[in-house]
Amino acid sequence: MEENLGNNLECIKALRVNVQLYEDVTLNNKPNFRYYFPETPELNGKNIVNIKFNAGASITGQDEAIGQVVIDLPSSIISENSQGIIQQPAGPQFGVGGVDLDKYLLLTIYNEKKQQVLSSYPCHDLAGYYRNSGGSLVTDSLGKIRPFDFKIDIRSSFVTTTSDISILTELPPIACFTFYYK
Amino acid sequence: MWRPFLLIHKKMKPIKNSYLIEVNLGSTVPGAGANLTFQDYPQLRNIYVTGVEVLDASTCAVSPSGRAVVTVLSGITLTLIDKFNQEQLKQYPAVDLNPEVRSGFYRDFVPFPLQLTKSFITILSTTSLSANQSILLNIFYVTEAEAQKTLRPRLK
Repeated sequence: MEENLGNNLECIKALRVNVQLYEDVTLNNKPNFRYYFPETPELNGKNIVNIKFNAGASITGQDEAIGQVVIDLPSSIISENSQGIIQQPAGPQFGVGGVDLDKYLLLTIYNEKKQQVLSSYPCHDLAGYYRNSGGSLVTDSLGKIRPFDFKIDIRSSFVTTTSDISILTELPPIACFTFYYK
Repeated sequence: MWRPFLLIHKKMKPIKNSYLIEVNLGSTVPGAGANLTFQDYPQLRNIYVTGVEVLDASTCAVSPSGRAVVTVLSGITLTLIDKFNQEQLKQYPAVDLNPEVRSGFYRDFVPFPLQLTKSFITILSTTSLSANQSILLNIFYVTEAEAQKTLRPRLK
């Protein structure tokens, strides 16, 4: 990892995991609904040193299957056991309609002992270099990737929304996270 | 031995655990000088706090309980009490704990045992605050067991 990213633990590999929100639009009016991460055995028990929420630049298009893992990171740090590249990034999914949707998303993560290590962590705080501004993706040169240090149980971890975000019904929105681990 | 309270790191320390807590202003905005105490969060008993973020609506627009988040932190301060009833943070400006205005960094502290139920927020100015808005704090911590293993040598 580059020194200026704000972490002081080096990662060995990184894996990008998508969570599909609102598979059924009738769920749209239910804040605090839990959207669990797909089964990702590569991450279970791994020591997570960074998490980045991708606000749009690296999220693939709508035809991506639910639960598939997308890798488009430098080959030096991608996982050997990943499911491979699905397709190249196809523009922002979050931010359609001019709403900064990452401000309505919270991340909860459990460790391998089934203990909550991150409880309702605001995803906007994990956005790093990419920020959503009025529906357009902008780069933030001052952004930092949050440094973490815990082992993850990805199967028990989930994303919640804090509000009814009706704009999301226009697209099957994807919350895309990059986990840096060792 | 003199020890600076705020550690100055070139890089941020890794976060072991975090917990998002909420303080609601109530049905009427408290007057200037009012103290708002925190409710008891069982998960935050017997912990050592390592860092704090105070968030406004630009980071988290709606709280987990569905309430709007304050848009301005400039009239709010934070006082954190440790388990020995000592004020470890006293009237610390909340805006300085917002990573949005700290170039993305969070403030990390020399870990101390937090007594959350005696800690409080002080409203210095009600400008731009509205009824039923909430203030969000993201508490970074290690458990007492983790502190015994990792922090004790440093704290002696």
